[in-house]
Amino acid sequence: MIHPDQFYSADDYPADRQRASMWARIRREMGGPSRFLFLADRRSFFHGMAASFLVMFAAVGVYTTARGAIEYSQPQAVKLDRAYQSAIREFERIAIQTMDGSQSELSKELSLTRKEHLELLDKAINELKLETNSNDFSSLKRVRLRQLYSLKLKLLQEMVEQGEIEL
Amino acid sequence: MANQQASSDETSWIEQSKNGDQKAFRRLYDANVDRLYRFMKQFSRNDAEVEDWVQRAFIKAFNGLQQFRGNARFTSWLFRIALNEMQSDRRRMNLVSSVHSFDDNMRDTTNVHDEFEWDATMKTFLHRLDETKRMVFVLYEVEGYSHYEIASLLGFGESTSRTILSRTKQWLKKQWESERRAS
Repeated sequence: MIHPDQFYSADDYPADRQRASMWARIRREMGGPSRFLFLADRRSFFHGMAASFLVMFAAVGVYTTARGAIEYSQPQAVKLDRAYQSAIREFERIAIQTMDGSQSELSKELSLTRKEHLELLDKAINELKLETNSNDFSSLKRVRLRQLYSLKLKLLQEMVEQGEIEL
Repeated sequence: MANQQASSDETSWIEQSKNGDQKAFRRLYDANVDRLYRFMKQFSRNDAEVEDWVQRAFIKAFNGLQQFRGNARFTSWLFRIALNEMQSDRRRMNLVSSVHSFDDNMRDTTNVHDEFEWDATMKTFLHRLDETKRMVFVLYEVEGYSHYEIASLLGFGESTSRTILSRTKQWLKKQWESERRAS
């Protein structure tokens, strides 16, 4: 038997660059995580962080406005409702909606579902507001409206985390 | 001892890869890529072509791991896939040399095993031979495969493998001797 070292020459072996490029193609074909996905993951992480801060500031805004409402002796429920509205408006003002072609089919579907939910929430909020007579509405409707505002904030947070809207 | 450890590692990487563990498959790649590449390099001087066979072999191996039962060595299985890829390319280009030119029932009447001594200059002659002869020679003489393994790898009988090897050695020796006489 011939020892491989006697038979093969240095030219018969792949260079490091070749080993790396071959593996890159194999990994791509295996459907492994690509550099792009890593970047996308990192981007999602930063989006998530930004969204958390934004929601925290929005919550602080809601709390401050609500406290102000009590101080000015106006109906608390109305002031709370306005605080929610103001927080959401502020959120929507600084957030730009994005949807790029690089999203996966699943992400796109989820994104569309969230957009639909957001539209439904807006519709429900507007209908509830129309049904009520500005400052005078039942406690049940008031609770319902607050729930809708809270849901909308959560949904917006999710969308920022997923990179569907940019800050 | 080291071989046993390597074999045990390989078995565990194969099992992990079967469950989709890409890191384990990367280890299998690292452990086998040089061996496969250097072997396939004997059939083409074109690096891109060799890389393509190697890549396709690993991709097919990963996708077909569930079918790998461990009866043969993982390397043998990988070599077979790579050779199939090469041969299908060759068939496409009508360059394949048919193994049927060898009669499976031919008896190996010449035993040059003891007389044959490798010389680096023989490699040039080896590359003049058709691919089947080169495969048998390299697999047996360099990669340490048995005739049984070569036969199942290349799809012909053990006796054919012996005959091809014997004739290839004879031919190489003859070429080398005449070259030496000439110089």
